[in-house]
Amino acid sequence: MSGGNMGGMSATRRKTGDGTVENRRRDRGTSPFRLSMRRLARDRSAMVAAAIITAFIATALVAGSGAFGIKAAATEFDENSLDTMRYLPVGTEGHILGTDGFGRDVLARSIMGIRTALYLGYLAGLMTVPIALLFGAVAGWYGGLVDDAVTWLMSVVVAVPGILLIMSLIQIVGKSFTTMAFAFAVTGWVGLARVVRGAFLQARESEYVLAARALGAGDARIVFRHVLPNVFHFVTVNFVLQFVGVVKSEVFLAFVGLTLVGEATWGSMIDSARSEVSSGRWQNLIGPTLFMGIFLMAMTVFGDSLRDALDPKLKNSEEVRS
Amino acid sequence: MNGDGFLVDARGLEKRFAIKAGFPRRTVAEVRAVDGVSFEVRRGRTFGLVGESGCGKTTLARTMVGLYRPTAGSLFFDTPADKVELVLELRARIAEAGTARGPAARAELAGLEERLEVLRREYDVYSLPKRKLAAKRREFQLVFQDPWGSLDPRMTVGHIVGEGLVVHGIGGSRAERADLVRETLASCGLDPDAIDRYPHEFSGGQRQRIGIARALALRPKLLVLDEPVSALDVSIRVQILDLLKDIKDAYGLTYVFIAHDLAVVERVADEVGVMYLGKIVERAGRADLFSRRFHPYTRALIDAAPVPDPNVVRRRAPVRGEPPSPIAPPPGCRFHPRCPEAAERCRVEEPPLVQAAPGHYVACWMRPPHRAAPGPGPALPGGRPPSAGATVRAPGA
Amino acid sequence: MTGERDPARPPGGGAPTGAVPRPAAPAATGDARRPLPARPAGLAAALAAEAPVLDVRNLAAWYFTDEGTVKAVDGVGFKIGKGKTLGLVGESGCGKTATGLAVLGLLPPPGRVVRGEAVLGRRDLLRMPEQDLAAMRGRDVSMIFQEPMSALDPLMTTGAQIAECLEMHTDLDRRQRAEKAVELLASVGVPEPALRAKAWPHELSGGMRQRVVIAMALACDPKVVIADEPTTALDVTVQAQILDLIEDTQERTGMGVVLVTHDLAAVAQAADEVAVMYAGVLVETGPVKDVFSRPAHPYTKALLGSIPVVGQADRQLVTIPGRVPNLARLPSGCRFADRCPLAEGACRVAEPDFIDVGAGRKVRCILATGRAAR
Repeated sequence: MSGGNMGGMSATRRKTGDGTVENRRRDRGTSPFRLSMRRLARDRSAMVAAAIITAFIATALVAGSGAFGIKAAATEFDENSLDTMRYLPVGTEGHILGTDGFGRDVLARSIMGIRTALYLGYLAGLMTVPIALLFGAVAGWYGGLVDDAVTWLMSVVVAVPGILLIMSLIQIVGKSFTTMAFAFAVTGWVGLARVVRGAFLQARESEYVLAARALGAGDARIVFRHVLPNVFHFVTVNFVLQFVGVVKSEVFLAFVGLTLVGEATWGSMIDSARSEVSSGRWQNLIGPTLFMGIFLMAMTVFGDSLRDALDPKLKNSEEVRS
Repeated sequence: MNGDGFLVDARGLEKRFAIKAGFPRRTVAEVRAVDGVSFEVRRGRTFGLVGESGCGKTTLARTMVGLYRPTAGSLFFDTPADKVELVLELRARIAEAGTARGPAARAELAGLEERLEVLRREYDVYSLPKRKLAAKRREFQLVFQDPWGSLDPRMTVGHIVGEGLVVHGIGGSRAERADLVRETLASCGLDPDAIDRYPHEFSGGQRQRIGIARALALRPKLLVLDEPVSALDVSIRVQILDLLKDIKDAYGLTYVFIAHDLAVVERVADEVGVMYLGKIVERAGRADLFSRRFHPYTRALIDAAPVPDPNVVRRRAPVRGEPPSPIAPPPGCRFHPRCPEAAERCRVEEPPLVQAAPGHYVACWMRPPHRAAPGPGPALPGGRPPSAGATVRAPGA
Repeated sequence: MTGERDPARPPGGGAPTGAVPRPAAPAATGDARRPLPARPAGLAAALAAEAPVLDVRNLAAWYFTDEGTVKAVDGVGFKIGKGKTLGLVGESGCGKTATGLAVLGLLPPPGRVVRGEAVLGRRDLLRMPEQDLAAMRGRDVSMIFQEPMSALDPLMTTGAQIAECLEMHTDLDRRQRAEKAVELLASVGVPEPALRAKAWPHELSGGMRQRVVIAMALACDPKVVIADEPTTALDVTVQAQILDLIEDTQERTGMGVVLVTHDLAAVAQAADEVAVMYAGVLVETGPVKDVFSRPAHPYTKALLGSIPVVGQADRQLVTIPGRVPNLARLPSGCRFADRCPLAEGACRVAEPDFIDVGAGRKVRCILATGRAAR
């Protein structure tokens, strides 16, 4: 490809002759991260998705704090409906999306569902990242037998259907947010670990790592200064996309009865609404599916855009060489 | 130390890479990337190493700066000549004593080995204790070929050039280090204020300057330059060659300059070694090598060297085929399958690198001292008659 | 450009036809039937050279990026005579590769051809429906890429890949294609061609791979081959072999070759005409011998002076200061003015025209053309 100086110089914004020393005001360079963020900001769909996610997070925080009685409306039972299974239709008595059979506000429960989804996804991410980094890094860095062992372990985890593993784990440890998140982490780390392993393998052979070694840098310095920063974008993207996986799995778990009683989750809402559809009441599906759909869509779009923006390969393509 | 001695004295360097496969892993083949290479580099001089891709020159460069552990061999860096001699003498005596029997001989052998070990741990780079090696690293630095891959894209120029200073604890404070980095950048023809910028903001030539500055920041004694200009545009190459000359004079450096381009090596080197499949096949002072070009491979390389002059009638490709794989080098002389002069002996017996003329070493059965020297080679492709006689005398081995 | 082939030039070793060139059928540039291979080149080819096989006029190809319009190719024109080689030289980023890709309609987005013509035979490649162009690619005009490994499909044997080209452009049946593939491999100097036709790309050495790529490019006897840095990835001893091969094939088939390269030495040895490119435009064109012995443009002069040559270690190399201008923000005057040792005020005012200075040469420099006019 030709056009060798397309990106390089446009980013520099001024020309310096090779070999000329000029005195000019010191300015800060544009880091690859800042370039990525610029690319992301130019991506319109990513910005829309980011706005939606921000709105979701804000809503979840506000609702979780108990403001506007959302939290209460989502959990408080209507004494009257306990015997009669009184469903309020959409738009009655101030219930925009109606109530469920226990008289709980569907909209409020859908909103509280955001909170659950965010919390679960976040917790699962927090647990996945260290596991994946540890295994991926160790396998990629040491190679040889260690790599063989880790690769074998990853194959085993992948070979077992994830959802079965999650179900049995939850059965054994008991139902709670933490165990669910842990179960998601135990099954979900392999993807990221593989990517991290690849990045470590590549970095180990890269010339800038060799250069650091030639300077006398030790393993720790090389790993933390040169290799991990180049893995960072995989972790971020994985973190975002894991929300999608977690929410989907949660719905599935609710279907097989593994849900947290008393908590407002989209999975449990859809599950209970499902039984009502046969009797012609589909209104309770609207809230959770709509919220979940938008949430999953936004997370997927944002995750993909983030990957495109952070991918260093794209950065290189800017600097096309002949 | 020894003012006029050798800065680098490499003895029988060997590096083999095992190719592993299967489960459980076992070695299925061996790449003999560097296969017994010895040379010396005088203080303040430039030793040029030429060879085609796969001849082991990059492996040799990386082994020299301690990135790879050699399979065999020693590298004496900045070692008094008498100590090197002593080591070699001890080795020879150990080899002799190894065949002797009896308790007295065994005791003598143990004593010799002990003396050798002491010397090696003091002087041989590869036998140095870890900490000593780490400190020694400062004195020999490597410059990479690829100005795009050898700089960490996520670090600022200041961090890249200053990394060695941090690692070796040079420069007390952050500000002191920054000053050192700025000074180094300036000597490499870069704007000292570039320290906050990132590699992607520079052109290939400037990036190569950053790579050179990184190596220079430690104020090493030796720079191993692995194809420092071959990835650059022609108009930038001259700039970098000029820079290398300038900093060599300014900082009193010694160079090992590795390249595939003979014309570049001819310009920069005082002494030249020609590598083929992991071995040095010819080594001599620059003028001597280019005028006599004893080895048929050297001759082929020079004949194939492209000349940007349409009036020079190009000889048809001087040798056929391509270098064989270093996994299974041919028996006998490694060049014999491509050599226009190969005889029976070349196919079975490997020629040693021996002195063919004063300071001129060749590994070829068809050349002195095995045979009479052929007539001087045809005029150089540049059209100039070969200059007579050697101006730089190669040191004895 | 109609430089005659130098009669003193040796007729590419190994040509069995001997010294007496037989008269051959007139060049059939517009004809659907291509001349048979193994036709002796020489006088006939020289006579036919007046009609160019490829005529590129005023070609401009720009990249429309977020940071602005990068004018990678900004008005480039050249002609290639039958059996001739044009060396298109320049440094990385000068637009030489983009020129080759644009002619073949292979410019990757965000690149686009904005104006110009590329006439092959009687048809303009740039204004042709993609379908027709695809049919011509490989048959009438083909490309040799720099990286032989990435130009080959790693999952196909070399024979199958050559046969695939033949399948697209000829009516040979399966067995004939396989036979022709072996024949082609033999013609590009691959030893044991029948065996190598069954080999996978990774089993071949770099030089052998490049020979296979050339065999693919030549499979349908194209009229023009665009060779983009065909020797850059190879060792010097192999480079010479590949240049020999291209020259021999040309003698045999009379194809025109555009040798896109940064290597002036390769141009000196293999090309008849040279076109020097700088920052998206041609700065000098003409017969290789004239341009190399008396370069008119300061850039050509500096470029020639900057190359180290074996046996001339005492000659001072020319340093070109600075670097190529940003193609998205070009200076108003001459594009080379900032790096030119001779630049004066007038050079920075307006871009110089590409002026014919006679003897088939053109130069884009007000200083050089002024002198020439005198």
